[in-house]
Amino acid sequence: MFGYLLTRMAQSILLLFGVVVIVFFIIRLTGDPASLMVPRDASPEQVEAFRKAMGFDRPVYVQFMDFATGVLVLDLGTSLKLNRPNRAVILERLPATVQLAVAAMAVATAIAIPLGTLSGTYPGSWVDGLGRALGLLGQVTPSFWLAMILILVFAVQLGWFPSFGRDRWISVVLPAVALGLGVMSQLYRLTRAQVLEIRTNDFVRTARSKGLSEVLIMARHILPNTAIALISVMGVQFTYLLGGSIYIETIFAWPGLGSLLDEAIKGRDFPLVQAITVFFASFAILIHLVTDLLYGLLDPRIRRGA
Amino acid sequence: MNAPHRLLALALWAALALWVVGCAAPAAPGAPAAQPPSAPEAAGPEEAAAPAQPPTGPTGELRVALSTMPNSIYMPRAAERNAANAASQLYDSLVWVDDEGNLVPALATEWEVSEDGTEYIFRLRQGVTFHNGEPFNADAVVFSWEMGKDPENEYAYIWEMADSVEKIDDYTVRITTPEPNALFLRFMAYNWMMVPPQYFQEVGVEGFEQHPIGTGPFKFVEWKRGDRIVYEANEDYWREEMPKVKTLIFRPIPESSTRVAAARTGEVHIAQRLSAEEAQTLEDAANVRILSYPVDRVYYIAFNNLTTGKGMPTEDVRVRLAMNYAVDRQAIVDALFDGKARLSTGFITPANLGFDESLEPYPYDPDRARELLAEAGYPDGFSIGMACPTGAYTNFEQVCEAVAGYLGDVGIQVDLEFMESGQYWDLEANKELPPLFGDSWSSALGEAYNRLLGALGGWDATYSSWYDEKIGEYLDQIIVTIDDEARAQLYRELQRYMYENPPFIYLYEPWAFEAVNVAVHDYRPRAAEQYFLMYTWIEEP
Repeated sequence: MFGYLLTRMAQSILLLFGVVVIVFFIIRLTGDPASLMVPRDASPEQVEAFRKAMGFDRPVYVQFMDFATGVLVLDLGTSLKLNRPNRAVILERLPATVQLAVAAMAVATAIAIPLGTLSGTYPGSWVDGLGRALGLLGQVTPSFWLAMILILVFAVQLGWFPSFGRDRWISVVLPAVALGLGVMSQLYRLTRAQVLEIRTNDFVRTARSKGLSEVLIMARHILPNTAIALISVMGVQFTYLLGGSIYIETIFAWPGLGSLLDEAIKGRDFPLVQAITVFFASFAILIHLVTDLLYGLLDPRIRRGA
Repeated sequence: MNAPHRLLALALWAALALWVVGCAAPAAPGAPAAQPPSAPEAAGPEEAAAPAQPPTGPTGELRVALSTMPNSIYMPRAAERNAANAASQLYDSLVWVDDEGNLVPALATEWEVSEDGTEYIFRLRQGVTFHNGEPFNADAVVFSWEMGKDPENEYAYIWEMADSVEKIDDYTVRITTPEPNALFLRFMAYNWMMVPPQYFQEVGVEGFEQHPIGTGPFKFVEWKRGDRIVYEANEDYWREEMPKVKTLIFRPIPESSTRVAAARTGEVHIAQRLSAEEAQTLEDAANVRILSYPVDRVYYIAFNNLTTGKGMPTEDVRVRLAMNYAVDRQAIVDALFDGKARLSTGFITPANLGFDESLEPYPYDPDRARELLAEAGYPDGFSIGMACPTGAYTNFEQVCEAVAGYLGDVGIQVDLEFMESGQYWDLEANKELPPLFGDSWSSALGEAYNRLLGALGGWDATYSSWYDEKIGEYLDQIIVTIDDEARAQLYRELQRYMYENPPFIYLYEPWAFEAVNVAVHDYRPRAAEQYFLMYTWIEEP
């Protein structure tokens, strides 16, 4: 187990370094922040003075070393536009993003797992038909479009929910549905397929022949065996929810990291874009690490390196 | 996925979409014809119908949507229009520009300018205090200037226009500029916001940005980043009977369709930067009226005679005139902006000092264009490169394609290339764009000087790629002519010259569309999309 943990961690650190390099250099291909931040009518000398004050006149490798060594000690630099440490800015906006991602995951699992289980248990029934239609809808509907439709119907026409912002607990409902629908469809299809497959296994037949009730068979034998596949997909999907929140947060004016990243990109706030991207990437790497370790706990074959 | 399922999904969504559209827009498409431009001041027939009275004291809550999240509400760092609009409600400058464009007293009650135009003596208003109780006096003016010109501030250059600010006594300051600067007071009015020295020194600039304090009509209450900025009325404001709302809340909503929805539900009272189509969808909303007005921003295709355009046919004025005649700008504006943009007659707009009403937009006259090209020695036209930015301006990609097409019709083969806007502005600043390039320029001062200098200052201006000695002379003269009437005359002459010797293919000035709740009165945005909310009031429900 310990060896497995070490290998996975070493891989993660290497991956993170790759991310740091790519993020730093790609963003520099998009233009010079100094001339973009200073008002258009400033003279070339004034632009130069600002570039100097901001440290953009230093050689690129010096700037890179600055950034990379900062990341090692969790110092993510200072935002150009906000004039505040990026770490503080990110931590301030993180709760809103986590809240939205958790709510979206809750919406997704609350629909997907019961529906997927029913679908898998009674394939071909009307429940299965409904479930598959919903799964398909979730897969083919772009989330930003769904977001706009939800606002039009449930905020403007029906007036049940606020159309934007994070004012009350009810504010999270529309963005969570818009964000969660895609994940819902993935989880639904997976649950359905797993239940369909597992219910024909020998150990289920044995359980059934021993006279166990269907409910007990489901609870003790089928669902626990779907858990491994579900957890790994949920882990991946959770990072997708964090990243996918850029559109949804922007549409709903949700004050999280996604809308912050959108503003930072538009404002060409290089250090902040770098910091958020590295933060997202580290988070994704961490989640993958944790899910891998969780499988190990759930399935002894994995941790023994089988 | 099998076919029946896909069909079912499509049918379901189509039904839902139809229902939504049916609910949202009962007004049949095509029904509302283009409205005449309504000046913001005149935009209130409802007000006449319901003779609501302004409140005696500050009451109610006014919620304003912003299209971006302000980066800072400390003026020297408030990086764009939304941030500056949110910030400026907290502060005052020594002078103010009123709705008619006149310079009027603010924190200074009177001022004199020396004969040579480089020295100003301001007498300061007495008895004014900052929101924290600190007195406003000459020390505050000196201190605000010293802080403002910190090179880390994006707007430091506006404070550097003065080379000294001295206290003469507690309520008198002397400010000098290195050269006469006719626009100095206007820059000051919009940007030199006064801050309290003692408090600022206690908390530092970072602390000040967290909790700014000024003398303005509104006091800072809280800023939930990315979510809201909350102000409350400054009950001791030095302007009598202002402000008129008790609570002022700014909500950043970057997505314009969400701003439309929030205006419709009444969650916000004012939503700016809507497209013409979005504004039209609100025509049936009883609680919202649409404000539309021409913005002080000119779109153009620039020529280059400094770098890439050197030696090109476009150095010949006849060719540049021909290119102005070749483009059917009315057709472009009709097709892409529903007719809602003004055809530019130059670089000076109707909102600017010295605008010449007698100039007509160049007519669309491809025959005249061909004649001029032949006269200039290019009867068969020529080839030229052109670039435009993507994602920066509404429909601008299509505008550029149309321009290239029209030029092609008279024999000028345009090799049009699009670039991501960040990279584009980088190249523009380095004067490395092709000899034709599209862009736009706004002005916030009620005068076109900055736009003119910025785009036509030659090597002295970051984003300029054109230099014309005569235009340079006019600009040199304008900036030192302190008298407004004399300056207006210079602008008129310059316009005439730039009409006969166009340094651009002039395009259009777009309209702004805003949704304003019918309960809101005396909201008067200016052509530069600036607004002051101290006289805005709201009817209590």
